[in-house]
Amino acid sequence: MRRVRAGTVQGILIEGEMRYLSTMITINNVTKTYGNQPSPAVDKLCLEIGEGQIFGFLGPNGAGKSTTIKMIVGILKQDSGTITVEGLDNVKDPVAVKSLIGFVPDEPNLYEKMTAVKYLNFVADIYGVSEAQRKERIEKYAKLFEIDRNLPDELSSFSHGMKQKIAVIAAILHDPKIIILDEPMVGLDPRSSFILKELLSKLAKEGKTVFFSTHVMEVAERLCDRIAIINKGKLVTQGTLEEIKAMKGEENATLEKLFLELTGSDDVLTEAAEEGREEEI
Amino acid sequence: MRLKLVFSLVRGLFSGTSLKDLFKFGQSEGDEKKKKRSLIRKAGGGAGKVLLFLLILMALASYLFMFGLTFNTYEVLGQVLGFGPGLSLSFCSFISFIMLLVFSFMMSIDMLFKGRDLAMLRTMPLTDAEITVSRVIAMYLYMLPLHMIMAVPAVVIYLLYNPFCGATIPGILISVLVLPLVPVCLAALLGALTAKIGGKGPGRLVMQLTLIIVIVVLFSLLQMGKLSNLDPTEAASLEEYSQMGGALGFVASNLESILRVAPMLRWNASLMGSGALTGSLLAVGTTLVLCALCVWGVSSMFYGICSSMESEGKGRSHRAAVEPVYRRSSQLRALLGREWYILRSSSSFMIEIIGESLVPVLILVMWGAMGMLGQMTSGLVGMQGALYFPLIVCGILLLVQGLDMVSATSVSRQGKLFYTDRVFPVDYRVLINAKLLMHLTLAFAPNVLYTIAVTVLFGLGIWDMLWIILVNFIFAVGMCYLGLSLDYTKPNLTWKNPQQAVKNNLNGLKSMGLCAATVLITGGVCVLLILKVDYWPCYIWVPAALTGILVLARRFAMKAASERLC
Ligand SMILES: Nc1ncnc2c1ncn2[C@@H]1O[C@H](COP(=O)(O)OP(=O)(O)O)[C@@H](O)[C@H]1O
Ligand SMILES: [Mg+2]
Repeated sequence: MRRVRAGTVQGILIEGEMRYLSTMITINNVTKTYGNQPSPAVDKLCLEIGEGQIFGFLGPNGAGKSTTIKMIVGILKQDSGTITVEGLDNVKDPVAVKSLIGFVPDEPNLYEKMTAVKYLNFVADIYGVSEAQRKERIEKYAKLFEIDRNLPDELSSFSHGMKQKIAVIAAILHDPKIIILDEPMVGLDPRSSFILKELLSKLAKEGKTVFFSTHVMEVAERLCDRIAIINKGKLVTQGTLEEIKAMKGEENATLEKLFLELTGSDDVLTEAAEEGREEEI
Repeated sequence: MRLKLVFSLVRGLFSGTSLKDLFKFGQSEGDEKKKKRSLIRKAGGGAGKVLLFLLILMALASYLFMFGLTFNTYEVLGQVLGFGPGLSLSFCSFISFIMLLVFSFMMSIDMLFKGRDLAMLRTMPLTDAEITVSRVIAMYLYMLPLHMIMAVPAVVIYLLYNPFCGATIPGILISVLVLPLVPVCLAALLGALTAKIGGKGPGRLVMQLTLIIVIVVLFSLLQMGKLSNLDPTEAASLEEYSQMGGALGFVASNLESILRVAPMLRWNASLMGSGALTGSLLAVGTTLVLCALCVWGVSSMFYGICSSMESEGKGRSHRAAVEPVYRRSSQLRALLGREWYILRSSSSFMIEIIGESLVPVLILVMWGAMGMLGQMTSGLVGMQGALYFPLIVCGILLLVQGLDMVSATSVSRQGKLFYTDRVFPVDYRVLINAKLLMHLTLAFAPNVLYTIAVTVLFGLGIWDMLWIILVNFIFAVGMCYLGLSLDYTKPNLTWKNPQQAVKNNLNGLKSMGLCAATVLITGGVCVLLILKVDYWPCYIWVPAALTGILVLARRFAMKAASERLC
């Protein structure tokens, strides 16, 4: 049943694509299996992410979100399939692809004994950011995230959320065309997570492409132009929220409900439903 | 003390490392398409493994032989000069005592108080004593191979000259397994005291290094006082020999007086031959009491030190101006700066690298202690006029440089942050060049200093010096590429204790073996050339051969890096 529907999604996708001027990231039939795992972590995944979109990448734990993102940014190499970024192949032209991307990993692993400024300077050197630009951007974003007073401190003294903010600043320091974030809201306090959401919207309005994974439905619902849901390495559905709702025939459903329906095994859901009924009785 | 728990803690510390890994190529992460390897490549890999194994064995054998020869001299001299039997074993225990003391002291603070697993362990229902004992046992296990390199030849020599009796087996077991506990436990106590007194990061590091240098210098002074009696300029061979015997006699008597401070090193060996177990029992008894005292001392300080480490160094850096500085530099310079940063980020790395630049000094001291320095200098001075003399000097300098592990552990030192190198838009050649520059500063630059010192000492010509520096440079670059290709092929990126990235990194050992083998083989060809042709072709052969190896190693390094990075 679901498979037939997934087929229709593909059809909608092709139409949907027409709305955008150009595709920024194309993931074509990509498969990745970890050496010690029997089944692929990402299985024949196809995705197109248009320029200027905020693209939400949804899926339960272990669905393959981080694996997909790691392949796009170059941490992992796909076993088969192609990934192109602005027409550039990520295997043939890795350095060019990487300089287009700013990446925020799921864990803010930073050089703990550097001060925040030193770390940001190092990243700016790697991406070739001029002195004037780095000064302007570091000061601007540090003020935005309210950590400007902590810039001269050693990163080991930062809390998880503060490190996450530094990782975000480091990722947008070179004004990349594409910003890729892996579960960026984890560990941020409500205020900071609001600031980050605003920032991502603003960047998208400026024409940047934002691609991020999350399992916070509220964020995806509010922020994203398009959504893709994967489960067990396979694409379940993609489209705008309205398209997905229309496709499921549930115009009034929340994204959470759709997500649970699309990613849960049917047994669990029916069981839960039955339990609910029993309680009612 | 729950011993079972302690042993499982020790096992935890060693998880993920096994001897098997030494000959395992490719990566453990499983993110590479190993399945698609062709049969031919597998066969090639097999041959490579065997070759590597043989080369390491060769390097090991040459060390064992060197020690064996020295212990042989000591056993004979000891018996002739009336020091009693077993001087070889006592001497071995002594040399090993110094080496283990220095090296386990280098690792003690990291090992005891800085593992990343400590945060978790300290919240578990474990006593401080249990954690301390498990760490000291791990230190002992790390040190055991080094001890074995010395103990095995000593035991062989002992058995050659002494009758076998009931006390022999327990005596040998004690020499091999129990006595190395003494320096390890002492080093743990010294480490804890340094951590307690030394204050915050930099101060403590300075104190640690000072202590190491003090131990080495004290030890050399003890020996040099006696060695200065030897005047190597006298060339008459007969006189020389008697003098050498005299010098060794001095060293031996000196040894006796030193061993009075740590008598268990002597009791066991000297009383072994008598057939009674008194010596062994005395040695074991004192060792255990001493070690228990040391470990008790460490564990009583454990909580305080861990807590103060937890709260230190986290705050505003004093040197950073309140107004941040934004200065641009090239990718290469930024990456070189990062290499330095990684080195400085762990005292373990610092000490390892500084320790490595101390290695030549340590070796000199060892030779001094063995009476070989006198032998060597008189030998070298005798050869000084010979045309091949610069070749010998060059060979020794190359061997010393080959002990360096800067590059062979440089990828592993990056640890879990290695992934950033894949994210950054940096060509892998730039990364390699940054590491090469690092290698040249840390391994080649000191070697130039040693070369200049040696040139002055032996009155070599300026052209000889320049030639030696050139050869050392080619060798340094080649060995850097070789080390990088090993470490890019199979880095240890998942370490929890920085110790594991350097000491515990088998790539360092492989690189040392390969470097020693390179020097031995190139030198072997030189010997053949000198015997069969003339000395001068060597001056062309050595740089040519090393350049060939450089080109090959560079290719390996580039391939390994490009495979791992993109
Ligand atoms: N380094 C790894 N080695 C082996 N398996 C892995 C590794 N990383 C992730 N996996 C497996 O791949 C699957 C997808 O993981 P991941 O992409 O991290 O999921 P997500 O980010 O969506 O939670 C999981 O089943 C996980 O167990
Ligand atoms: Mg993830």
